[in-house]
Amino acid sequence: MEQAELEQLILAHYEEIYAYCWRHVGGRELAQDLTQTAFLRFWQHRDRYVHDGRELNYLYTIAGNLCKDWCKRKKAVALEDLPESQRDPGAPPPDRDTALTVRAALAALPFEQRNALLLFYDRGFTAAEIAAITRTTVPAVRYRLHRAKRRLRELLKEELP
Amino acid sequence: MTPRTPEPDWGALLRRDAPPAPDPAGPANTLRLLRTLPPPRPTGWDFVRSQAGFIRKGMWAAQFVVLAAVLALVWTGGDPGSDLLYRYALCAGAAPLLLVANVQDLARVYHQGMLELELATRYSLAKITAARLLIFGVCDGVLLAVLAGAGAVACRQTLWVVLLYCLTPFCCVSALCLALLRRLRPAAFAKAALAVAAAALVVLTLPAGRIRRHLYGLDARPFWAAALILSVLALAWQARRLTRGGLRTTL
Repeated sequence: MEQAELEQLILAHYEEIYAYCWRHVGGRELAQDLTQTAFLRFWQHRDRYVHDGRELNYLYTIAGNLCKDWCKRKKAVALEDLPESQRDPGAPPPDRDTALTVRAALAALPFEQRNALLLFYDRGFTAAEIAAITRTTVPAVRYRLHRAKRRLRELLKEELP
Repeated sequence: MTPRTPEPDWGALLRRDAPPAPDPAGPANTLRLLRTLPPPRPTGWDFVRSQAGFIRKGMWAAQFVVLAAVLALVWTGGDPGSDLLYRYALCAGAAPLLLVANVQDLARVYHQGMLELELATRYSLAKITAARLLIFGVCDGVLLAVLAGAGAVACRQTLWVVLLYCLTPFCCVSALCLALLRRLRPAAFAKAALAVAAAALVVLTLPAGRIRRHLYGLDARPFWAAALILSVLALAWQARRLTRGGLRTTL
C-alpha cells in the first residue's frame, strides 16, 4: 500500500474508526489518540497486511486491539461516578440520562462481548466479518453477541420495551 | 408457554449515545504525523540480507580463500579412506575459527561508527554484528559443503559420507560459538570460541589407531548422523535467538 492510499483511507474512515474507539473508551480526546495510533500502526505494520481489499477490517482489528489494551490498563469507572466536568462536552444534551445509561451498560460488558455488539449492531459487520476482525470463529462471535444482549437486557430493563 | 420477548432494536439503542464530533483537525493532524514517520526498519531475514552488502569485499575474499586453501590441502594430501574422512572432520571443526578470528575486527571496525550504524539501521550494534556473523557462518557452511562435495567426487567417496563428517563438527563448533557470542564481549568471546574450537579439534585428534578407525567406520555413522541433526537444530536455534534478539547480547 502506498502512502497516498493510506491518506485516502484516513480521510474516508477517520470518523468511523473514531466513533468505534469512542464507544469503547468513552472519551473524545482518548478516542482521537487511539484513532490516530491505529492509522499510524496500520502504516508501520502494512507488511503484515494481506492485500485482500479489506483494509477497513484490518483497521478495525488494530483499533480493537488498541482499545482492548487500554481497557486492560484502565480501571473501569462508572459513568455516573464521573463529575459533570469530566464528561464529554460534545455529547448530545437531549435524552442525556438514557445516553449515559446505555454508555454505562456498555462499559459494564466484557471487552469481547462489547466489541462484538458494537461491530455487529453499530458498525453493521456480519458475524463472519467480525470473526475475521477479532481473529476468532463465527460461533464464538454469535455466542458473544448472545451473552452481550442478555447482559444488556438485564442492565437496561427500564430502557427496553 | 411464555411469549417470546420481542428483540429490541439494538442498533437504535446504541445510537442513543452518539459520540461527540471529533476535532475537525484530527485527520489533518494524523496525515501530518504520518508524513514525518521514517520508513519501517527491515525485519527478520530482510535485515540479515541487508547487512550482507555492508561487509567488506576483502573480508569475504580472505574467508573463502583461506577455507578453500585448507580444504584443497586436505584433498590433495590425503589417501582415500578413513584417514581422509578424519582430515575432513578436522578441517570442518576448525572452519568456524575463520569466522571467530574476524569478530574482533568486526567489532572494532563498527565500534567507530557505532551510533551512525545504529541510527541508520535502527538496530542495536549487537544485532547488527550478530546478523553479519550469521551471514559469514552460513556462507562458510555452504562453501564447506560445496568443497567437500567436490572432494568426495575426486576421492571417490560417497557424498553424504563426506558431508556427514564435514558438517557435524562444523555445526557443533558453530552452535557453541553462537551461544558464546550471545553472552560474552568480543575479547572474551574470541578467546572462549578459540578454546571451544581447540577442544573440538582435540576431541577429533585424540583417538588414535584402532579407536579412530572405529570412530570413522561404518558402525559409528548413526552416531555421526544423530550428532549432525542435533547440532543443526542447535545452530538453527542459536541463530534464531540471535536474529530475533530474544536474549540480551553483550557484544
